[in-house]
Amino acid sequence: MLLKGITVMLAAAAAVLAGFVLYLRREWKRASVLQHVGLQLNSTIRRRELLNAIMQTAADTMKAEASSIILVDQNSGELYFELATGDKNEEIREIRLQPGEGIAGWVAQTGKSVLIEDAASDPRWSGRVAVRLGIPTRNLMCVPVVSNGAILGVLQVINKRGNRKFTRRDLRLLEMIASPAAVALENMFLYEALRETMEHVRETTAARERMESELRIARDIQRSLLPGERLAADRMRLAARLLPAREVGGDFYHFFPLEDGRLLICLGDVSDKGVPSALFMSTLMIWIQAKAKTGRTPAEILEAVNREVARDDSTMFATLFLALFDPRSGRFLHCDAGHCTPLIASPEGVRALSTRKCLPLGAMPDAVYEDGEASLGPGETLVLYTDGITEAENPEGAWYTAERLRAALQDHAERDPDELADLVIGDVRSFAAGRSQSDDIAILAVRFAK
Amino acid sequence: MMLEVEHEGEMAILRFAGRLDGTTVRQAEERFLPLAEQGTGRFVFDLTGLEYISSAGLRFMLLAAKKTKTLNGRVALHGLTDNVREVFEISGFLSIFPVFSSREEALAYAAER
Repeated sequence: MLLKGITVMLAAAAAVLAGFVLYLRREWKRASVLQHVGLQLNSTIRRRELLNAIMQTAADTMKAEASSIILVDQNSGELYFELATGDKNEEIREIRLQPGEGIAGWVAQTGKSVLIEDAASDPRWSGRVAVRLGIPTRNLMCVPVVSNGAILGVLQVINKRGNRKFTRRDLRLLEMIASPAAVALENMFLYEALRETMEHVRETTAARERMESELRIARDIQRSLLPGERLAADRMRLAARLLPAREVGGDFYHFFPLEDGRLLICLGDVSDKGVPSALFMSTLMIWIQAKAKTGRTPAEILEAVNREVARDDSTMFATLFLALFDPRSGRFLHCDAGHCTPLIASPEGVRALSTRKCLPLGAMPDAVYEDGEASLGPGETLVLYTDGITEAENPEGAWYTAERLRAALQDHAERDPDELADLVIGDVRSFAAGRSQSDDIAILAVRFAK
Repeated sequence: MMLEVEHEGEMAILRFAGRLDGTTVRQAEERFLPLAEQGTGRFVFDLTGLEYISSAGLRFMLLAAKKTKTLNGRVALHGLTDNVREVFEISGFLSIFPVFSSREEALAYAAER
């Protein structure tokens, strides 16, 4: 009796022990599976490799015929397949599902796991995936992949191998695999976002450097063309200033003596900015120099230059005022190619030089240019300028205007051209009160001594 | 800048308002060029609401003049404000654009064969 009782007890104990050993073995196996999964998923951070690793690991661990990881587009809520393991993976790379569509959609929306023993009879199955996969789906499991409360996607395995069915235990194991998968995906998204940011920074830096170097080129061309800032000949004193804006605006001036003792002066403004305008202005200045050497009048020079630079299919043009100045008499011939009206300043007042308005250079190939004739009296100063002065803006957006320019010239009419130019620019600057200069500023003053 | 396009027969009437400068000129080109490419050669530019035109804006005007010329068409302007008229005057552009004081005259000129 006693023996029998002991035997029974021993048998029971053995059964408990055996059960415990089985439990331990299962736990150990599960732990080692998960450790293996963790290792697999931490092996890469690159999208294609990682998604492949997740699917391969899920399929292998679950003994499934196929597996797919379906990601949720966090912007649209749509689900999309990146690719899938199995022999048909090429075909399902592009699939997109509407939010809530199919089993995957349902899982992504509810955050609940699904075990379907017979796919064909479940109404939630859209049929879409099965059709595109080309694998007849007998049974499947689908679990959400969740990180920090956000559903990143769903992990799905299809058809347990050996014509068997997935069990509840299989489902729990798949849920466990989904957890390190979520961490790996989260890392992948962070890595991708970081890489995108780096790429963006790299691109904008490159673009900025390109622009900066173009600005430098334009400014160098502009600066290299200028003949200097002052000139004196007989009773004539000349001073010129050019302040390029950050984005070079295309202002230019030129002056040089001709063989007959007269002086050519001109000041202009190209209708564009940057390198194209710098190149156009250099072309113009070279042509002006070339065409001025053969005894032509200002209008003849500009007509000849215009024939060289104007094209029917281009809209690049430059406004320009050009004069041939006699430094002994103060008389000058001039031609106005659509430029800001020159002013003549004297202590008695400031008046506009009356000109015949002709078209800017480059505007029309058949444009006609006309000469005007005028002279400076003793103590008078001819002032050429660009609209960078009259349209200089203050912080309130108001313009400096031609009226302010006239007033400034009136105030400083007795000064020599260098001082006059600097005083005008100083006045424009103090008017702008720190507002950044949006266009080039150019001024050229010619004074006929008393 | 605001730009409205109205069609009258084979003519297009472009109504400009605001500022036509370096920042808005693309907008004008994007409206004008498709019309010219479809063969519209006769334009009336109504500048009544145009407050300001820069040299970039003048380049657009020049583009319009050249395009319509190749189409044997014409551009007529009307409604120039004092500011805009001054820019056209100073730049010499008044010599290439017929400017009218009324819409009717501009339409009649643009339609002329």
